Amino acid sequence: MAGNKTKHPKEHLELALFRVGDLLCGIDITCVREIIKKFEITTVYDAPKEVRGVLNLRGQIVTILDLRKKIGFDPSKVIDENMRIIVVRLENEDVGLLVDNMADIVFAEIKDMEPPPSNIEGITGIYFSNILKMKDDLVCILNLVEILKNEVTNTKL
Amino acid sequence: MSIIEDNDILKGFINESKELLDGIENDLLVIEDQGEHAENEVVNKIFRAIHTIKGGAGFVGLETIKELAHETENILNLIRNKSLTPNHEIINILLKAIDVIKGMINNHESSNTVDISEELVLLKGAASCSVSDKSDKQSKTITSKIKKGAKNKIREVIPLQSISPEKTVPLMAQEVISNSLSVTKKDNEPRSQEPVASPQEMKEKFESNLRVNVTILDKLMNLAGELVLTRNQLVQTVASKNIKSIETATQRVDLITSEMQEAVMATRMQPIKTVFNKFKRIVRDLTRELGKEVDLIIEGEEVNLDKTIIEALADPLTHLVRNALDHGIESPEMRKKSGKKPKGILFLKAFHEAGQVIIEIKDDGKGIDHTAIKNKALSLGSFNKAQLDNMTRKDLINLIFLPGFSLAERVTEFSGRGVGMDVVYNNLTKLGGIIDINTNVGEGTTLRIKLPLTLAIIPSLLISVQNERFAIPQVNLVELVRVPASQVKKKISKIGSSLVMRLREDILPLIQLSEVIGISSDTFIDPQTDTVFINKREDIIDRRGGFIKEGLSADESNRGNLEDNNNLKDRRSGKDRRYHAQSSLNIAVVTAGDFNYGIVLDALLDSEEIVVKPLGYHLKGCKAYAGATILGDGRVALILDVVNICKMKKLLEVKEIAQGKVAQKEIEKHQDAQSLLIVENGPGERFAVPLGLVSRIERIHKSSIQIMGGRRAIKYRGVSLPLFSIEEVAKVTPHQETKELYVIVFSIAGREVGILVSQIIDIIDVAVSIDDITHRQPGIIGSAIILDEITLLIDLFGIISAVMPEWLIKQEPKGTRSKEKVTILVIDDSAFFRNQIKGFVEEIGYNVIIAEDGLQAIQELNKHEREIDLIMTDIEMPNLNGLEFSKKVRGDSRFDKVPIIAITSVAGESAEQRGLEAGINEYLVKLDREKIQEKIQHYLDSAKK
Repeated sequence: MAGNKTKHPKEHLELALFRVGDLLCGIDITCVREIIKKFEITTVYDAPKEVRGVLNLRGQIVTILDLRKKIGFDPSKVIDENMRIIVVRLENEDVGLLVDNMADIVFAEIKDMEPPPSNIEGITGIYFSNILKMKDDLVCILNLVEILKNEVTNTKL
Repeated sequence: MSIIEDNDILKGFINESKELLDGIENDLLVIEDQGEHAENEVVNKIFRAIHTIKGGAGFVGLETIKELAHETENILNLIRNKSLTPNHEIINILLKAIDVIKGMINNHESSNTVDISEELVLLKGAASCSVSDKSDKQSKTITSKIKKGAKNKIREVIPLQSISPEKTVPLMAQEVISNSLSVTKKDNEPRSQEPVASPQEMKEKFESNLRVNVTILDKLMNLAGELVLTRNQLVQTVASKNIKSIETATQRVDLITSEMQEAVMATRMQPIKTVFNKFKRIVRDLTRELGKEVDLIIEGEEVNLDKTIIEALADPLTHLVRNALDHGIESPEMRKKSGKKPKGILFLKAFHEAGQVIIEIKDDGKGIDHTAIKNKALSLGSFNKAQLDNMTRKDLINLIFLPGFSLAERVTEFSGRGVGMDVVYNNLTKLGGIIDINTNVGEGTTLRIKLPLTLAIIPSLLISVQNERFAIPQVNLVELVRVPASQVKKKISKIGSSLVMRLREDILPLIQLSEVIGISSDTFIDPQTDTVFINKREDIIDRRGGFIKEGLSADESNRGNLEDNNNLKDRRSGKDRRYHAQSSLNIAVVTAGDFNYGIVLDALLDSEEIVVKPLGYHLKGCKAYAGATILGDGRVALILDVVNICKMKKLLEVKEIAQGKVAQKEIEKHQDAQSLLIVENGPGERFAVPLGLVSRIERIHKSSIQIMGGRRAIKYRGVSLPLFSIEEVAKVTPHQETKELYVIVFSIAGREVGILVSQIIDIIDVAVSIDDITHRQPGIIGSAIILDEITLLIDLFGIISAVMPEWLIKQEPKGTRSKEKVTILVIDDSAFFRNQIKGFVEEIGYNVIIAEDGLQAIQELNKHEREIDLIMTDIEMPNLNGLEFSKKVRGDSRFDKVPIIAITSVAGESAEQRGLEAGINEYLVKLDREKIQEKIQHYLDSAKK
C-alpha cells in the first residue's frame, strides 16, 4: 500500500476486499487511511445501533461502525482475531469500519463493473455503488458516502 | 484605487487595526473623564493609533477607512493642540467614527462601498467649530456650533457623496445633518442599538489570531527539542532492552510532557481584561441612554483564562451587564427615594478559587423580586400554584433561566433585547460553567459564574459502572457518599418509580446509569468470591439473597416490615448478605447548575486530569456524553454530561415530589434538630460535634503526625495543621493508639485546627435535649443521649482556649464606649443553648436579656423598647417561632431597624431563605462563637452608621 495510485483512473481501480457476513465487499483503496489489526473498542451506550463504539487512534477518538449491522446482517459478531477496522475519512473526520476479515487487494477493470442488480434483498442495497465481476466471485463495492451518512438522528433528548 | 493584491499584508493590517481600535476605545473614555485636562500622552497614543490605521488603510486600498480615519485624526489633532475640549459630545462623535471604522475593518471587502457621509459631517462639524471658537468650552455651545459648522461644510461633503451616487445629494446631506445632530443632542433610540451589535463584533474580533509571548514560544521550542532527544534515547534503550535506562528515559518523557502541557496551556491563556474592557464602553453608553448613573468597578483584570472560554464569555457577560444596568440599578431619583446614593455601583470581579475562575457581577440595584417571578410563572402557565409554592426562593429566582421566561416579559418595562437568560445559562453550561444568583430585594443582585480554567484539560473523577469506565468532571461533583450496606434500606427509598436518597435534611434524586444509557445492570460481583452473578433484584433497595424467587416474593409481601431484621433472618437460611463492606453503595452527588442529584456507581477509580476529545458525528445524538478521553491504558472512557443526564431523566419532577415531602416533614417537626457528628475517642466513649462547625474530616496515618515544639501537627496542603486531642483538656480516656486516626478540622481565630479522634461513627440529625450539668467540664459543654449512648458534646472553642489561650485574644469591640449600652436579646427555648449563648455573649462584654420564646421576646422588647440593639433568636420555638417573631419585629416601626441574627442548629438553604424573607439578617450556627461574635460586632457597627 505504498500509495501507488492507478495510472489510468478511468480504466483501473485498486480495491481493498474484505468480508462482511458472507458478502465479499470492496472499497477504493485510495479511500482507506489505514487498517487496524489489534484494537480495543469502548462501547458507547445509548448510541445509534450501527455504532459499535469508539477507539483511540493515536490520541484521536474514532467512531467505529459495525458494517454487519449497517448493511443489515444480524447479529453483530463478538470481536475475534480476524476482524479488522478499516479507517476511512469523510470530510474532516476519520471513521472506522468494523469488518469480519480482510480478503485481498485487487486491480479491477472498470469494464467489469456493473450497477447493482435491482433484486438485492435482505440487505440494504443503497450501500453499494457497483458490483464487480471477478472470476469466481462477485464483489460489492461500497458507496462510502451512503455508509457514512448518519441516518439515525437520535430522537432522544 | 489600488487593488489589494497581497493577502498577507491585508491580514496584517486588519489584525493590527483591530488591536489598535480596542485600545483607542478605552483611551477615549479616559480622556473624556479628564476633560480639558486630557493628558497629552493619552491623546498622542490615540492619535498615533489612528494615524497608523489611516496609513495602512491607504496602503491596502481601503479608501473609505482612510477617509474616515483622516477626519478622526483631525479632531484628535485639535484636542492635542488644546483647541478642542474632549467633552461628551466630541467623544461620542469620535466613538461613533471608531465604531464605523471597526465595522468596516471587519467587513473590509465591502468597506469601500460604506456610506460614511454622516460621520464625516459630524467630524468636520466638530473640527470647524473648535477652530472658530477656542475659548468656548461649554458643551451646549459646542453642539450648536457643530450644527453651524456642519451646515457650513455641506459643500465639502457633497463631492464625497459620489460614493453613493444613487441618492440626490443636497437633500440627503441635509437630512443627514439633522439626523445626526439630533443624535448628539438628545438621548434617543437609534443609538440604543449599538451595544446590541457590539457583542457580535466582539466575537469576530477574537477570531483566529493570538499573540503569544516569545519566551513561551522559546520554551516550547526547547521542550520540543528535549522531547525529540528523549524519544531517541527511548528508542535506543528499548532496542538494547536496558530496563534501567528505559526507566530514566520514561521519567524524562513524563517530565517534559507535563512541562510542555503547561507551556502549551500558557499560550492559550489570556487575561480576562480583553472582555472586561469592553464593558467600560457598554456601561458608558447604556447609562446615558437609560438616564442612570453608574460607577463601573473592575477587579481582577489580570486573571487568565483559556482563549476559547474568553471568547465564549463575551456574549453572556455582556447580557448580564446589560441586565444589571437595565433592570438592576434604578434611576437616580428612585435611588434617592430608597435612601441610596444616586450613583449606582456595578462591580465586575474575577478571581481564582479552588482551581476555578469565579466571575462576579454585582450591582447595588433593586434586586429581583421572587414574588413577581412567581406571578409571572403562574401567568405563563408553565407551573401550577402548588409547584410554585413548594419552590424555595432560590428556585423561583432560577426560573429566569428557563427558556421563554425572558427578561423582556419580566417585571420591568424596559424590554430586553437580544439573548435571554436561558441562552446565557446554556452558553455558560456549555463552557462547563455554573451560574448562581444571589439577590436581595432593595439591596442588589450578585451573579456568580464559576468557570473552569480551561476546556481542554479538566480534572475529573473516574468511576465505573458495570465494568465500564466513565469520567465525571470535577466541576460537577459536589460530594461522594458511601451508604453502608446496613443503611441502604434506611437511606434509599422509592417515590413513585424514582429512587431517592436521604442526604442530611434533603431528599436527593438518584439515577442509575443503566436507566439513562442502557447499560445492563443485570450482574453484580459477589463480595466474597469476586465472581459475577446475575442480579435478580428489581431495585437496588431490594435484598440480595440465595433463594431469589422465593426471597423476592417474601420481600414483596413483607415490605412493610422490611426493617425487622430478625423476622427476615428467620425466613432465610442465611443472613442478609449486605453486611459486607463491598455491598455498600457509592453515590456521586453531582450538580447540574443549581440542582443536585446522585449517580449510583459501582466503584470509584481515580481522580485524574483528563484531556477532552470530541466525539464523532455519529454520536452527536448521544446527549449523555460531553466527550471522551483516553486513559492511561490507551482505552477510551466517555465523559458524562451531568447537565444533560439530568434533563434526559427530567429530574426536576422528582425533585418536586421530594420537596413536597420535605416540606411536610418540616411542618411536623417542631423540635430543634441538631446535625451532629458523632465520633469516638477513647474506647466506648462517644462525643458529638455540631456539624456546622466542622470544615472537614481527614483520615490520617499515625506516622504522618509530627511533633514540633511539644505540639502535634501534620502537614496538609503545604501548611501545618496543629492537632489537639480532647484528653488534653477534658478528663476523658485518651484516644486509641490506632494506625489510622481521624482529624476533625475546623477553623478558629482565622486558622485551621484539627482535633484528633479515633473513630467516626456517624452524622445524624437528632432532636436532643442537652444536659449541661452532669458531665460539664472544660472542653465539654454537656451531654445527651444519642443513639442510645451517653454522648459528650465537645466544646471546640473551649478546648482551643484552654490549650492555646493566646490565639483567642479577644478582639475588643471597636468603640468600647458603647459597650455598656449594648444590649442583646437572646431567645431560645432550650435552656442549655440559652445559657451557653448568654454566657459567652456576656463574656464578650454585652448585656444580655433572655427570653424563652417569641411571645416572651415581644414582651421583653416592649419593656426595653429603647435598649435593645440586637436580637439573636432561635428558629424552632413553641408559641411563637423565630420566623413569625422576626416578621412581627419587622412589622413594628420601633424595631424594624434592629438587626436580627438567627442562631440555629440545622443550617439549610431553604430555611435560610425563609428566614431572610422574614427579615432575619443573618443565619449562624449555634455554638459557633467566633462567627457569632464577629457578626454581632458587624451589625452593631453598621447599625451605628
